[in-house]
Formats: sequence, structure tokens, C-alpha cells
Amino acid sequence: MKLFDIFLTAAGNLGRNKTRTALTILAIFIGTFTLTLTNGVGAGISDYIDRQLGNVGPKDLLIIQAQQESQSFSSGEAPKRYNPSKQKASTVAGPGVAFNMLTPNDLAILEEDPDLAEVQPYFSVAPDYIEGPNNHKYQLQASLYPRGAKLDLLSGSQPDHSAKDYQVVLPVSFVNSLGFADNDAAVGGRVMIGITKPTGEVVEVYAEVAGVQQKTLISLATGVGLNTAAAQGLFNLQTEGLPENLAKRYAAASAHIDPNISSDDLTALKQRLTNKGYLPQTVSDRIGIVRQVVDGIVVVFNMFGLIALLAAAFGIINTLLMAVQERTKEIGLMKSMGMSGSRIFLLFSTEAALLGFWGSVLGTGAAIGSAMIINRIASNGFLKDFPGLDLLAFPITLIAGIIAAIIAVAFLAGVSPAVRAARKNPIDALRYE
Amino acid sequence: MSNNTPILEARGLTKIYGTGEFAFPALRGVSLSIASGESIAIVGKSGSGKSTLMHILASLDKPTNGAVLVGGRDITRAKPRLLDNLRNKHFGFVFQQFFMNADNTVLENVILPLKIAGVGARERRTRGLEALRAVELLDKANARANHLSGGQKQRLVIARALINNPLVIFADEPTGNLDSATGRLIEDLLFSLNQQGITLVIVTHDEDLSRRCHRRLDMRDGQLLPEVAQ
Repeated sequence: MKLFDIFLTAAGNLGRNKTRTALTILAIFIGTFTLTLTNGVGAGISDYIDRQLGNVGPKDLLIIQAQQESQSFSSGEAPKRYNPSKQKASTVAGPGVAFNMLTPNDLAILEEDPDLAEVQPYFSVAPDYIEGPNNHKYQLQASLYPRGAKLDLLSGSQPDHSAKDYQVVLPVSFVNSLGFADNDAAVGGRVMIGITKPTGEVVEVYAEVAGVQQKTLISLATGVGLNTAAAQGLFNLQTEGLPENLAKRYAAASAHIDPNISSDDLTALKQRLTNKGYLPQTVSDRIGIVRQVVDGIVVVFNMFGLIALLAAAFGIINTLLMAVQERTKEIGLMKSMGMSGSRIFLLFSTEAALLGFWGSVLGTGAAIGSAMIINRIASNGFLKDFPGLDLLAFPITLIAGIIAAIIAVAFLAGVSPAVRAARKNPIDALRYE
Repeated sequence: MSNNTPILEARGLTKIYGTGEFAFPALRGVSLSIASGESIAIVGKSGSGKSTLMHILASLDKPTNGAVLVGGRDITRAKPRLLDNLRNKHFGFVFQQFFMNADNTVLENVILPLKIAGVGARERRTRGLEALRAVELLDKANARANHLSGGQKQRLVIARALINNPLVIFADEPTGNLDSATGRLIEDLLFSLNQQGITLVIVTHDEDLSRRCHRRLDMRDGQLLPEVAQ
């Protein structure tokens, strides 16, 4: 029998017991629907996290801090021996916390590491205020954006780290307060930043608005983003006149690593830096936990989908076994007319695969349909504070993968009944009434 | 094959069902020879082994011992593919219980052997209609098979058996489920095919039917009784 005829015959056979076929497809449908929705949530959130990752920094960025070893009196810990070579020159101690800073000496050590490139100190700045065209002063937190970070911009362009001019990226909420008409009007506009020198004198510097940033969930930088020139300039002002060892203290340093570095090499590099007293973190170290939680939730939901599919697989097996039983005579007839066992096998397997096809196509279709409604409700409701987040996303590869996987599962479920059909002896079928 | 070579030949066929103390010999050394164009009636009581003999001759079953030759060729140890092809292209089957797909149309049922053979849809239809015309069932081509009367169903089955222009038609109690008038019409149809050169092997316990055949083979307890000239 030609493959096309086998296909048509199998499709026709599904219509012979419509109730049974419909119930089996319904079982597959439920499994597929669940699996598609849970994977859709996973894909939607992953996609959002990926875009947020751009806000945090590129994948080849390593953020290095000094290891934090605070001496706590409450823990009754014995004091540690002084080690001049290991001791960080500058420790900032506050009530209950101590924070080790990096020094030029540390930067030199880091620069010597062959795996680190473009080691840059992270200039922590504490400006006082920002003022826009309407001359209102607003409290300001500003920070340097890591090189290579891809900010989620509504307007304008990424801050230029090689520029000599001071540049800022404004959060979208600042635009109207500062007196800009809209996002586009803000881009290219000028803002004034006030900062206090160690002498107590307040100075003002101008900066150009490079871009306007979307509200974001996770970010390394807080407040207004600065390019390197602006951060360094403000840093110099706020440390102007201080002795060298007090002035050049950095909260962290950033360095670039080979983007194609193997995970073994990355682990070795991190271990090496840890042994030297540093705390290295990649971007995914810093926010990877968010994704792990999401992945964990998706896995749990997928379990439900898979359990539903398992039940559906037994439904397929049952449906086909009954069909094989019912059609014993028909199978015997076809075999007596010269249909080979392998073609009989193919006929029943195709029926199983078709059950999987209809169930999965209807299931994914219904899931996509409900997702459209859910997304609309969610982004106007409980996800209002996460602009740009589609709760459910369905990349075409995901949908195709699910359909293919379910057809494969259905085919596998059909193997045993199909083998049973293929092995039927025409005599057994024809001899008995 | 030459005219002298029998179309079907059986040599010392035995068939034992089961093993050990449950072993039941259905055939106990059957040898026969059927010439091309003959019509043969295999007659016997139920349990005499006549159906088993027909199944083995038609390559639907394997003998425990002995050999079956089709056109002089031993098919006892032939590969399943060759046997599938033999049944598909050269044998036709008519069963007492009809065996058809009740939900399909008459035409769809008739063309099943061609579909299995991989013949294209257009040729299937042409030849299917031709076969239905031969059994005078053309007007029912698109009717559902289970809407037919008993006699019409058996004509459908005969059309299906002759659609591949077979060398041999095996018929197992072809008139068993029919009233005598209808049975007579089916017999006429079968013997008209025989006159066109198709060899007929008919299993029956209908005396009238067996009398119309060229030869009659009586079976009892798995063995052939000495042949009586008709």
C-alpha cells in the first residue's frame, strides 16, 4: 500500500469510532494545553529576564569586589592576625557592617590576570541633586553603567563610554519632573548635576541626556545612569584634594572576559580571584537566581503537563488496542490480500501519530488563544509594574517542539498495539466467526 | 508455466495443531494436484480438515510437513514478501462471512486488493467499476457495504476477488449464508469466471455445488478419500 493511501486510510479509521477518538484526543489536548501554557510562562519570563540582563550588563562582564570579612563582636569570633600583604587598605565600617573597598593596588593585581581585560574601577558617586530645564532641583542617585550594558531604552541611545562629554541616561519617571516635554525632547537636552566637594563647596556640572530608560525590574545601577566620563568626573570632584589613599577607593571593579570562555575556565578564574581575596561575579551569578526560581516553577508545572500526557499515552494505547481487537477480521482480510506486516504496523502507528497530531495542534492552539487573553488581563492587572513583560510567550520553536514531541509520544504509545496488529495471523482472523 | 504443470500441487501435507498430549492432527498426509482452469470442490464434514487444506494451499497457513507448489514452485519456505505478493496478485478470496468494511462504500471495498498493491487511485476506480459491472453491482458502487443484501454482499466479495485478474479463486462456503435461489446465482457467477479460465477451489458441504465442479475431493479425518469420477 502506498504511504499516502496508508495515511488516508489511517485518517479515515479515526472517524470510525468518533466518540473514542474524540475522548483520546481530548486527553492529549489537556496534556498539551498544560504543557504549552507552562512552557509559555517559562519562555515569557525568560525572555523578559534576557532583556533585563541587557540592563545589567553583557555576559562577558565580570564584577569584582573585595571579599567582605567583617569582624563581628556578637559572634564572639577571635580577632584575625594582621597580614600587611593581604589586608585591604581601606575598610569602611558602619554600624553593624564593614565594607572592604578596592585600591589602585588591587586594580594592578587584577590587570595582571591574563583572563581579565579592560579592568575598570567602579566610580561610586554621591551627587546631591539634578536640575533640568524647569530649574527644579531633585534628589539624585546616580551610578556608572557597566560598559557593554544594553539598557532597555525608550528613546535615545546607549551612554557613550569613550566620550569625553558627560552623559546621563534618565529613568523615564524623571523626564516630566525635570521639565522635558517628552522622552524624545529629553534626548540631547542638558541637565545640571550638583555635587559637594570634600571642602563642603557645592559645584555644578552639566551633562547631556543620551537616552531615556524603560522602567526595569533588575539593574546593577541605581537611579540616573552615567557614562564613564561623567562618573569619573563626579568622582574626581567628590574626592578632590583628598590624600591619594583615601581618594582612590572603589566599591568594585569591572573587567571583561572572553565571551566564549568554557565553564571550567570560568570556574578556575573565579577560584583564582577568590583565593586572592576578591569576590568575582558574572552577570548571571548576580541575577541567575531569579531565573533559577522561574525555571524551578516551570519544571514543577511541566510535571503536571507530563503526568497528563502520560495518562493520554495510556489512552492512546487503550484506544488502539481496542481498535486492533475490533478490527481483527479486517487485519486478517488485509493480510490475506497480501498486505505485509510492516504496512499494517505503519497503518496503526499512523493512526496513533494522527491522534497525537490532532491533540497537540488543538492543545497548543487553545493554549495560544488563552495566552492572548491572559496576557492582556495580566499586563493591565497584576503585572502593571512590569512594563514589557508578556507573561506568556510562544516562540515558534517551542510550539513546533511540543507538537513534534507529542506526536513522537503518541507514535511510541502506538507501537505495542501496532506490533500486535502486525503479528495477527490471517487464519486466526478468518477462521473464526 | 506450461500447460502440463499443475497450478497447485500438494505433497504429503500434514498439519498438527498444538503440542504434546493436546496435539491434534488436522491434516494427515494430503497430496493432490490441480490443473489450471479446473474447478475443485473440497467436501467434508466440519472438522475434516478441508478449511485447513484450503488455507495451506492459499499460503495463508504453513503445513507442519510436506510442500505446496504454485505453478511448479515450492512456496513452503518462501519469504513472507513473496507470499504476500502471490496472494495479492494471483489469488482471490471469497469467504462465507464476506469480510468487508461495513462503513466503507461498495467500491472502496472492492478496490482494497489494488490499494494494497499500490495501484493509483484513478486506475483503482476504473478497474473497481469494471469488476462491479461484471457482478452486476455497478449501481451500488457508492452505497455503503452494510446496506447490501446477502447476495449483493457476496457479489461484492466476488468482485473484490476477481479485481486483480487472479489465477485462482479460493472460496470458503461461498453460498453458506445465502438462501438457495441467491446461492444459485452466486454459483453461476463463480462458474462463469471458471469458464473464463480462473481456477476455482471451493470448500463446501453443499452437494449441489460440489456436483457442478470438475472434480470433487472428499475429506475425512484429515485425509483425502479416493477420488470418484464425476
